[in-house]
Amino acid sequence: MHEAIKVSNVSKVFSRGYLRKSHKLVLSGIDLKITEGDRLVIVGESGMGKTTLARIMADLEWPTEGQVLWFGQDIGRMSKKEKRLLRGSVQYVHQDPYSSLHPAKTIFNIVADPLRYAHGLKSKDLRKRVKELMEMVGLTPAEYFFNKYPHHLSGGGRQRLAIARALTTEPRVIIADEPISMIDMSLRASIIKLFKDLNDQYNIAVVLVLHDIGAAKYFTYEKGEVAILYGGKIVEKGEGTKVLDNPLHPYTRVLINSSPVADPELARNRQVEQLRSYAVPIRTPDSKGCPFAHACNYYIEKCLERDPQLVPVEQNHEIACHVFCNRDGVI
Amino acid sequence: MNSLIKVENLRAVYLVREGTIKAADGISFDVQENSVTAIVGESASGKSTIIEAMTRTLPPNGRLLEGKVLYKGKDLLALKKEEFRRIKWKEIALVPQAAQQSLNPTMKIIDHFKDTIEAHRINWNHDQLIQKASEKLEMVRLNPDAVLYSYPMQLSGGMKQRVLIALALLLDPEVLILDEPTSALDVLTQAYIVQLLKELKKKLNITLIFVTHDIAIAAELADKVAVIYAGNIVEYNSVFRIFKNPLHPYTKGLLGSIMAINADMSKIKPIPGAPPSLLTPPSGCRFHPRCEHAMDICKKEKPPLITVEDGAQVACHLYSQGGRKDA
Repeated sequence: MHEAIKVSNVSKVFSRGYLRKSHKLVLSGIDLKITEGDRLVIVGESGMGKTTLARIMADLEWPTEGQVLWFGQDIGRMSKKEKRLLRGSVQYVHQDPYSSLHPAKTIFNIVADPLRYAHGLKSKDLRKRVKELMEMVGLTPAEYFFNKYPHHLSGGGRQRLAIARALTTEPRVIIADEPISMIDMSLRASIIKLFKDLNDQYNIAVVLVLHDIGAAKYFTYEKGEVAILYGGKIVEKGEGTKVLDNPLHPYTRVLINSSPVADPELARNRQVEQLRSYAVPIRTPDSKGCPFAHACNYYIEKCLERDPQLVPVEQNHEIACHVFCNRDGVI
Repeated sequence: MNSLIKVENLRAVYLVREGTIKAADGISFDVQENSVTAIVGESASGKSTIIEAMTRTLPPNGRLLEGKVLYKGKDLLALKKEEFRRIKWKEIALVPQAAQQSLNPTMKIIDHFKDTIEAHRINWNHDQLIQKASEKLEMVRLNPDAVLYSYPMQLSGGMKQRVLIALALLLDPEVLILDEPTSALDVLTQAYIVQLLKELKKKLNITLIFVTHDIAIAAELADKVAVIYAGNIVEYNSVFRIFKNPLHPYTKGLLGSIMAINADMSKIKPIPGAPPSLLTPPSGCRFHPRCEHAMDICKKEKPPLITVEDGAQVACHLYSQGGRKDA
């Protein structure tokens, strides 16, 4: 299997203030890849850098350091022309379907315009393709929606439309940033299901950015990988079932342990681990040590001094933690 | 146990350019003393409207059409403004939605406390106020010395939410109403707030009513759960029975579609369709276009909220006379 997107040693620093002298390290030393036709979930809370990472993967943001490879080619060294040829293969779905769709365009045109520009489709062919795409995302009967506007759709419907629009260029990878955070509760599962179907039926690689661990599990329990972000670093990654059923990093464990469960008895009897701090870590390029050390209940001296690197604990399962990285340390 | 609050046939609408949004359509439920009641529904299902109507805080375009909210025998909605003001905050306090925007960004936290006692004409001197405010802030595990003199922008989302809870507790209310206490918070902060509310409930013996879109929060906190769909209560039952033996097809569907971490992932089944617009709600039972058990009667007649076995209340023709009970 070929790698669709590979991110190697990517760091991102945002500078601001007078003379751009205040630096904030949003991502540091990220290594991540997704093979063609696979699934990947990036999990993290707000402020952990997950959206920045997704945008860097989609070439909407540029890394301060490191490389992003699309289908084996470094996009930082590509010419404009080369990039334009590949651009359609990697598509991005925005978080908020209430602001990512043009309110004054008909639903037909929202899907049709990219087809007109990118593929030069006209009249009958265009209509046929729009219909196909809308059926792919479950907006049926397609003709019923053609002359309507985005405001006629519910949040779930809008997100489906945004996905249909992303499919116009026949992408091999879709990157979706928090696709369900603005969607009604009863429709969330159906959107995740749609991404799974697109992955299964059309072999499109799907990268989802989520904060909902349950949704991440639903998306990856059959196949796919999970990467957990904390403070701009990947603290744990690996096969979805391995990471989510057997979490090893203390942060992942707290995250899973704190996720709501839909069972009143279990919810009342479980002991939720309390962290030492709930503040979002703010890191600068000079910060040292593990970003989670300030909150972790298991931290040791070393955690404040040295940044832990990702090390494998079993096949396809890596964590970055000084305490739990070797089997003996597991409490 | 006595019922402390009794809501009877509450109907409220919003006037908008396109027509009227029928956001609460005949809502009735009882709240027992010292219990925790959760009102669960999707966005735009009218769950916040219920709270706003109960506390007389409907926005300017909201209209209360009919209904009663009996609190200790008095109808809150019929009270004169001055009489209601005496009950408000001292007996019934509200933690509004969108905690992030509810605090005045130009005022320090201490001034919010000061404003509250002034609005309720309580004669505490400055020291008394500080002492009371600190006590309440400690109750929500905030450090009063740091927080009291901060501006809202210096606090994180979870801290602001806790400040609002402390503010609501300032006059020792008997009933605390919370609108979406955990929305817009991260998973860890959310778990922390839920834990905190559990402790407060135990410590203070107050009655909690809260609105949430996340039924898993209700599982953890509530004694009784009212499930709202498109402006109607479709099921009202104890939390254990709601999760073990849901009656209404919507409740069943909702529980089957939530992606909780402990759920059996292979059994998750999304509910087809989308929630209706409340401008033009479907006829009869508002859930019938999405319901797999829909019968002819569902399109014509709105099912009443009836009491079935063990005091469970459900609004569904499957459970009324002539309907199939086994479905």
